[in-house]
Amino acid sequence: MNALTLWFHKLGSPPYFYRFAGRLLPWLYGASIALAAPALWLGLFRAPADYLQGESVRILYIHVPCAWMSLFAYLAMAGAGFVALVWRIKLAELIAMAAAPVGAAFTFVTLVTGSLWGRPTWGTYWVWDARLTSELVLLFLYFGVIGLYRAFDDPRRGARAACLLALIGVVNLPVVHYSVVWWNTLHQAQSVSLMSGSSIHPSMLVPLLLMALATHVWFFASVFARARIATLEQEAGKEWVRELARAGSTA
Amino acid sequence: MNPMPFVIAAYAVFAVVFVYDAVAPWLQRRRVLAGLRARAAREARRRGETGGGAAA
Repeated sequence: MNALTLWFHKLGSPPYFYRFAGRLLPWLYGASIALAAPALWLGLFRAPADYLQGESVRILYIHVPCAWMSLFAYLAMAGAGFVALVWRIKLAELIAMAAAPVGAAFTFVTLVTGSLWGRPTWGTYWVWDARLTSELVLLFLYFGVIGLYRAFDDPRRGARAACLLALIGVVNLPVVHYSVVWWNTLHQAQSVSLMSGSSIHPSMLVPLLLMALATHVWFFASVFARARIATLEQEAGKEWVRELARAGSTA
Repeated sequence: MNPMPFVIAAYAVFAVVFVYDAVAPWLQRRRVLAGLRARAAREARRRGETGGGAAA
């Protein structure tokens, strides 16, 4: 067994994961803030106003990265859910369930900031457009996963049911992503693409990409923080948790 | 239409949600650890009352 596989197996051990995530958290939160600070400064004060949208374009420096994250978080949740269902790895269940509220937060921010951008740009807070509606469905899917997880007395059974719902909900991801291509929507088509490059100026692209990086790092920090607590709750009767509680450790 | 109130509101929502997202797990962890400590103290007290828990 090579060192990486061995480490991966060790990561599946709750006390090891708890300590590992605890050591990683300050670095992840720190890196995220360090990336978000210049992104905010560039987006709010340095990037030019758009020739069509004017100053309201500044909302897009948070709206677009959050929208990307709403899809990424769902994919991560469903991926962890798949691992949890197939290999019955407890840590994968915890990661999947920890990703749900973080993904819901990103989706909520996407919808609210999009709505606040829409009012001065489109003249309305909301339209039942394919992109907006499928993003709202995504938020409801997150709520469904969270609700189903909490509906069971046995958290492991709840997690398995919620992981299954998360997997079924994956069908909504291409609908969200391609809605602007498949249907004639009010929402504009994407301006940044991994495959075909970007059609926006670097002065606008840099803060956008910096914020996208910051939100990705934040996602991992937040998921690890939540998974640590779930680990503590699930392992409450174990000696290592009792010792931790007795010591009043902050580790 | 002046877009600045909308820009400020959007950034305020973003800040509030993510400050809450950072603080909530930290508070929950404190609550869980306090609960575990209280449970350990209750168990220790019960063991003391039943003569050191020799039968346990």
